[in-house]
Parts: sequence; C-alpha cells; structure tokens
Amino acid sequence: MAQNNAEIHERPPLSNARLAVLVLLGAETMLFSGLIGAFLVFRVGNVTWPPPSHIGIELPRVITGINTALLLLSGYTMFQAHRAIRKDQVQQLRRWLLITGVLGLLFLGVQGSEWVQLIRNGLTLQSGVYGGIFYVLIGCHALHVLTAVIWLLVVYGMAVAGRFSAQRYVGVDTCTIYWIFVVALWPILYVLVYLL
Amino acid sequence: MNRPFWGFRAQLASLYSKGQAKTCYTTVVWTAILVLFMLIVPTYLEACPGCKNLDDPINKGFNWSILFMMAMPFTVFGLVGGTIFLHFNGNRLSAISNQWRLKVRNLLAGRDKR
Repeated sequence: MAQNNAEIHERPPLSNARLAVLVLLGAETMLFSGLIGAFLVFRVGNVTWPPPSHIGIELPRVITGINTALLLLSGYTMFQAHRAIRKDQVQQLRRWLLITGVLGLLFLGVQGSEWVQLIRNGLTLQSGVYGGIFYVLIGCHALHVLTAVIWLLVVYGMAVAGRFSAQRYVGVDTCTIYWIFVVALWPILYVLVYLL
Repeated sequence: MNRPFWGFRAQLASLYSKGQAKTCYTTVVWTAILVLFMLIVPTYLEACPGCKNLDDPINKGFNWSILFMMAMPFTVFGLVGGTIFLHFNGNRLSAISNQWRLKVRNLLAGRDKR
C-alpha cells in the first residue's frame, strides 16, 4: 500500500506536457529561423533598405519600441503568475494572468493599428519584397501572440474554476513557457525588422 | 579476385533473375547521364551560394542566411537538451555547487583544514 502511494506521488522530473511544449518550441524556433533567414537574404542583399520603391514608407519605430516594452512587461507578469501558483497563491495567480492577458491584447491592438496605418501608406503584402517579408515575419509573430493570448484565457478560466494548486499546475507551467518564448522572440524581430 | 565491377554485375544478374533488371539498367543509365552532365557543365550545378563571390550583396545575404540557419539546430538542440538535462540533474548539480561554494567560503575565511 505504502509502495503504491509512493508510486502515485512520485512525479517525473520533466512532465510529458512540458516536454511536448519544448518540442513544439523547437519546431517554432526552426520556423522563425527560416523566416529570419529569408529576411537576411533580402536585407543584406539590398544595398538600400527599404528598397527604392518604398523610400517614403517609415516603420513606426518609437510606438513599436513602447509596444516592445509592454510585451516584455507581460513576460514579467507571466513569470509572477507562475511564481504565485508555486507558492499556492491562487488569487495572485488570477490577478497576474489577467494583467498578462490585457498586456498581450494591448500589444496586438497596437500592432493592428500600426498595420492599418502602414496599409494606408501603401505598404501591402503585394507591394514588393519589403512589404511581403515584413507582413509574413511580423504577422507570423502576431499570430503566435494571439495563440498565446487564447491559451492564457483558457488557463485563466481554469484558474477561476480552481483547477490549479501548488501541487498541480502543469497548465500554468506550459502556458508560461510558450508565453516567455513569444516574448523573447519579439525583441530579436524588432531589432532586425525595425531598427536594422 | 574480388573486383567491385564483378560484384555489380552479380547484383545485376540477381536483379535480372528477380525480374527487376529493367529498373536496375534504367538507374545505371540515368546515373551515367547525370554524371556526364555534371562533368560537362559544372558551372550550372554550383549549388552553394556561400562559395561564390562575396562582393555581390545577394551572395552576402545568402551567406549570412546560411550561417544563421546553420547555427539554429545546434541552438535548439542545445537549449532543449540543456533544459531536459537540468530537469533530470538539477538537484545533484545544486548539491555539487553548494559543496563548492562552501569550500570556497571556507578557503577565503582561512578555515580549510585540509
């Protein structure tokens, strides 16, 4: 009986869910490295960047910089949420998750408004290599942020339903890993696409 | 005498007996055509953009891209592998690091008895 209890309570050092998310992130990293590789070909391959056909179009560096700060802040709040559930503070977990979700949505909102402005200025997916690579790279990241926000909302719903505790928080754990990945990826893209 | 050519002939004969001689001969003929083509027009078969003239910006772009993408599998496997390793050996490693920290502290305080 005692042995059975020991087997029940003995957990592997790395849960299957966590391992699955790590493998998923490996695949995501390869996807983004392919896209960044394509960007590098165009960026280094063109002597003038943006290309002469897009000279008048300026990317909103300052607003995106502030947006970057928002996303980095959301990484911090997500980390705090993870810390809270490890200490069994469910109320704190809900609060931090909510703040993280709001920051994520804010980031997406600012990105969306920027895109509307850029499309009005003539930078579209069909307007050339510059527009194409910009929308594919940044759009792919925005899609990932959207996925992360949906995932976060599901985790928030589960937290409200009281499904997490200090002993059982795999959902928060996996969501945190994914969120941190999305947050860590953005500064690289920002520097590459907006600043270089 | 064990010559590769005879081995190849034996293989062909074996395939022929199995009724696959046509497939085998077709493969040999196409391989020969491809090798001949590669020998005749080597310039058109240069597949490595990083090996070309780096003064051209496009080649430079390909070069940077290749270098970046070459590094990524190592980074991914390193990070994922490192995370898994730390999960499985975290307690042992922290015990070792605590031992060393204690040793250094004792050494600095001049209390190392050994």
